[in-house]
Amino acid sequence: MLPEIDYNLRFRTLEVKGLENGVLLKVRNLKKYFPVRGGLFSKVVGYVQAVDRVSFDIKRGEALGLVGESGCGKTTLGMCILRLIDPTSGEVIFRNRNIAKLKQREIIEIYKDMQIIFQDPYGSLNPRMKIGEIVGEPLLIHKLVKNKTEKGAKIIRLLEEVGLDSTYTNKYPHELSGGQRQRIAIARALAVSPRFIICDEPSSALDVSIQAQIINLLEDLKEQLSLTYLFISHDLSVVKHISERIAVMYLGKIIEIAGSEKVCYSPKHPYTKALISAVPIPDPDLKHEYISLTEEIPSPINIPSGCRFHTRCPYVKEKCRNFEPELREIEKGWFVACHFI
Amino acid sequence: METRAKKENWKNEMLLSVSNLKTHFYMEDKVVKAVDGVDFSIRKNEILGMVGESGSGKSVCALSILRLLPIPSCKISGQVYFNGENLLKLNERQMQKIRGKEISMIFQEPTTSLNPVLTIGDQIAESIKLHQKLDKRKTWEKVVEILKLVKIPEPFRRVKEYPYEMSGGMKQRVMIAMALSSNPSLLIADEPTTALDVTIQKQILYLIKDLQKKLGTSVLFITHNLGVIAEVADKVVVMYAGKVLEYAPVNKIFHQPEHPYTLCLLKSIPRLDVSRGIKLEVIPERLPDPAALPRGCLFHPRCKFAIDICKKKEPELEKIGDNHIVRCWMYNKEEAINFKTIQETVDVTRN
Repeated sequence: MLPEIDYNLRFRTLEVKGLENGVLLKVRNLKKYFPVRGGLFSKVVGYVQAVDRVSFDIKRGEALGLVGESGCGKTTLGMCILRLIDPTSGEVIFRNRNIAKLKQREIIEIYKDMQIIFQDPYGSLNPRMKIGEIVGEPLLIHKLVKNKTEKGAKIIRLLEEVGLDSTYTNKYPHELSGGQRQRIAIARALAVSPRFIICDEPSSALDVSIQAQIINLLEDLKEQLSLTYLFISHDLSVVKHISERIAVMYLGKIIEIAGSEKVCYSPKHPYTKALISAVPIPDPDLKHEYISLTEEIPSPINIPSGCRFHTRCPYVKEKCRNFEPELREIEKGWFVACHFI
Repeated sequence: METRAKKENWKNEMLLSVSNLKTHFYMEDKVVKAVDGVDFSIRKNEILGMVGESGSGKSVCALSILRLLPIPSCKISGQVYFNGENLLKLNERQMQKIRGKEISMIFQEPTTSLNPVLTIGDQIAESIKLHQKLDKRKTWEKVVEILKLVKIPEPFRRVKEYPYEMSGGMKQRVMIAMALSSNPSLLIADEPTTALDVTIQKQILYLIKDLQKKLGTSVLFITHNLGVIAEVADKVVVMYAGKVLEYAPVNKIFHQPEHPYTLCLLKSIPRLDVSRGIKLEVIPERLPDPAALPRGCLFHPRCKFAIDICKKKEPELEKIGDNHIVRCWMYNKEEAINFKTIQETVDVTRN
């Protein structure tokens, strides 16, 4: 096993510096290992290290973008924060409560403050429920309305908030297009007036012209309702557009976290550099340098020793193979996990 | 004599020329006009990018060229001239000789396009056997050679692997290898990188561009991603609801787009090279239902420049410059003004 690094110590010093102010969500050493079973008696033969000792903060009113290739643990991280999956260990502190330690009965309470919007609006809405019922369900669960008229009025207000109208209440999801369904999913998330929303690839399943509608809607809502987002996406251009800060994930770990302009224009970590250079830019005259990554992403079951990026890193040195780098602050609010930065 | 000269000319210039291609699907109670009068051409040694949102008819267009659609329920009309020959007039046996040999295709999802119970060597060999008469050893040598061409490391070991043992990017390389195994003159790539991660996407794009230069193959590259188009294409066709709205060289499309749809589309995508805080432009409403297309210009319900004539009459393709064709009333002012006066007279007399 790799030696445990005391993240708490480092972050405690940060808190003293005054970063604690305005922090809405704190994630510390969050870990999720999925057991891999095999053999005669389905013994545990290994672990998929989907999320491995991740720590970060989200400030009130900001949007933190989370990017990475498929299989790097972005969605698992989001689900662990919401306790849709139970994390293996670590802390998720939201309003002075450690979500990771809450009892099942208490979890439902936090959903009044935290909600999620999923990627696929075709799979996330119950096909047997009318739109009115879908949007109204959270109101009933959390007993936020007293009677039917109040509920009806609230549903209509929510639909108007996301750019739809009252005619949709009696429709079924199959009658709507992808963009409209995603609006319904947003209205449902907004029903409990949450402070914090996890957006898990909310625009990836949509067409180009519809994607802009949803992104603009999310931006407007953030401003009007002073929401905080964790915006998960594989598309760096979208993440950069919507979020103030970006965290880059690779094989279950955050390897760089900083303001979004910094990450996109002067990335430090070799992986971030490669990722940025691979994003296609809609300008045929712009020919920027492309850093080719040699191999494809290793399996999260056999995570490489030392720095987990060393198998693909163009600047790999001996130290990288043996020692795992930790997140270091190289500038105020700019953390990179690399030995040679 | 003249026809032969014409054919020679064909050989030198054009590889594929599609004109007035229509593919209509007949359902029980309605007709879906998936492709409705598409014209474009591909020269030799050229990459033509075809861009459009879902349901714009990009894939159906490609499948119509190869005649891979179920015949009874769909009707293809128009002309598809490939090397001076109309593909729509050929019989099934002649067509079989074109598919995979002269024109090959790669699809979006490499996992579902490969046979899971055959090794990838066997699958590539199959397509070589079908079109070239080589003996067993030579075929195998060719398989290894073609895997080297698409830059698969350790091809000798890889030929014996099954698709499940390979990653998505590798599988797409195998698909490209298979498609190029008989040196086709046209490669149709239907969203070849959509299912892949960005870093792998870039590698595949570079590979396609590289091989296109090396082998002199023409490519019809279909995608919904404008960034990808900017990266690979020489010329671009913009599709919308089964029709071509704009056709121009790639520089023109990105720097001086003339059709309102192209213009709005470019402004509606978030870009990495533009600083934050600039709002995206939104194209309102949704894509039209292909079974109930709007009257007049197909884009008018979502167009911010729409005037009366757009709602009533469909514009034709207008040539506005070298290799630049647009379907919009803005570029046929005479007709638009004419229409306006007629409309006004009608209104006056009615009153």
